[in-house]
Amino acid sequence: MSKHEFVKRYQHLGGDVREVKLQDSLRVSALAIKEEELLKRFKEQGVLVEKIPWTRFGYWIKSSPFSMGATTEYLRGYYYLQEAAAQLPAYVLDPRPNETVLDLCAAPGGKTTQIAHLMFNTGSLVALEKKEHRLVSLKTNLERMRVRNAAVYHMDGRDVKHLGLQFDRILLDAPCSGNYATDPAWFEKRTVKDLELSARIQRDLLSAALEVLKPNGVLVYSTCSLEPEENELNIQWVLDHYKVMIEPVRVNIGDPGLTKVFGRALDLSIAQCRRFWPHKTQTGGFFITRLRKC
Amino acid sequence: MLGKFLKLFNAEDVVLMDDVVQIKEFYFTLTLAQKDLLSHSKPIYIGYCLGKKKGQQFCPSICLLDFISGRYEKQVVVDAKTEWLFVCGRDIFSVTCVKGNPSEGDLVLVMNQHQECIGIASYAGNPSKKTPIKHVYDIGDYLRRERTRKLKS
Repeated sequence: MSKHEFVKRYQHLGGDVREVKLQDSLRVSALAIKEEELLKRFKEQGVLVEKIPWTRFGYWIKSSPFSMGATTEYLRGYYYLQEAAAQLPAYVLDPRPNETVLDLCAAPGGKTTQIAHLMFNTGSLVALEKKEHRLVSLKTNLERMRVRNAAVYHMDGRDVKHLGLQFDRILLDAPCSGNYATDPAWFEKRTVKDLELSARIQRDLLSAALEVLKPNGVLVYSTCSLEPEENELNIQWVLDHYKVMIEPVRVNIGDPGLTKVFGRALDLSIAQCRRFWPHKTQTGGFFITRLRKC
Repeated sequence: MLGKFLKLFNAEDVVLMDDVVQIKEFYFTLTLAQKDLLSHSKPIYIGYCLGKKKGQQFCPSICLLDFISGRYEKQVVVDAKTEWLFVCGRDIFSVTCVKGNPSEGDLVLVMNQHQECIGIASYAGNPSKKTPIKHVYDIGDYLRRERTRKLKS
């Protein structure tokens, strides 16, 4: 599919394609350092940051005299470099201390470390990663960010039932086709076949997650894709096949999920999901759903 | 290897060795629930990471470094410039303060101006161009692990 066709497709869905200059962002680890103390150090070092109003500990990096991934504060786990929209799924999941939580596709660990911190390093956080080469980053980030409640498995999320565990909450930040805002060559790389393959894997992961979710448990599904096949249509598929209900994604940014896709009417509760069009949110493309198992 | 390391820093009682497990090159200390999880599955990382074995050296985690820095008195404090050079793997040629009266050959913890531990060095007397404090381990290891992975993949 050409860029022109993607643009037409997005416009048909109420979106658009415009050039977006993504700002780097970080998340402060309030378990490791007081937020004010870190901000004071940034100021002394000439690092200019600005609060991201719709996150709790997120900051845009406006300017820095050095690489923010190579400072003592970074190495000591005081902050994590994380795209702004990607900071939201963990809040939407809202994990509580002492719960049993699953991060189904965990590497490189941005959301895993965030979940651990929201649990105050208590309870049990199980993190799975299928790709071996991504495990180094995951383990390094858990160690650097002082996570104490995680167990990491080299495992395909689709096999999670073999662990014999049931979870209070699950984050499925699914592998997806990505979006043009984070990859300038995105349009040249993608075909409809890619989207279909991606959607199939995502449905397998959703099924696997729902199988190990406790009754009344919460599943947050997110992608960094703008394609309805990987987002609203997958959620409609879940509603058609499982006893779940959609809960509102309470974030102060993004558009409601689409309830009409290419002429097909979807369940109206899908409007409670959030869809991030990059030209509107000035973030990467993103989609978040919160499901509760009935 | 972990026990030997803790002994070097008078910190044998920081960790209950019965709670320690080794998974490949990593050492962890576990809660009861994590022990239970470990008994019926095979995680590759679990609990509170204490550090990792790298050849004949033990590389402490940032948490363990912070633990031992609260107990081990032999420390050198460095300024911001030296801090960054040290984190890049360099020896130390100047310090702002020496604590705990280390002797030549003693291991010292290297602290930054915020009194945070950034690594370990071997003391060789007051540092100068001729006799620097020798770099042993620093927290820049976290970045180097990633680089090594990228080069391999």
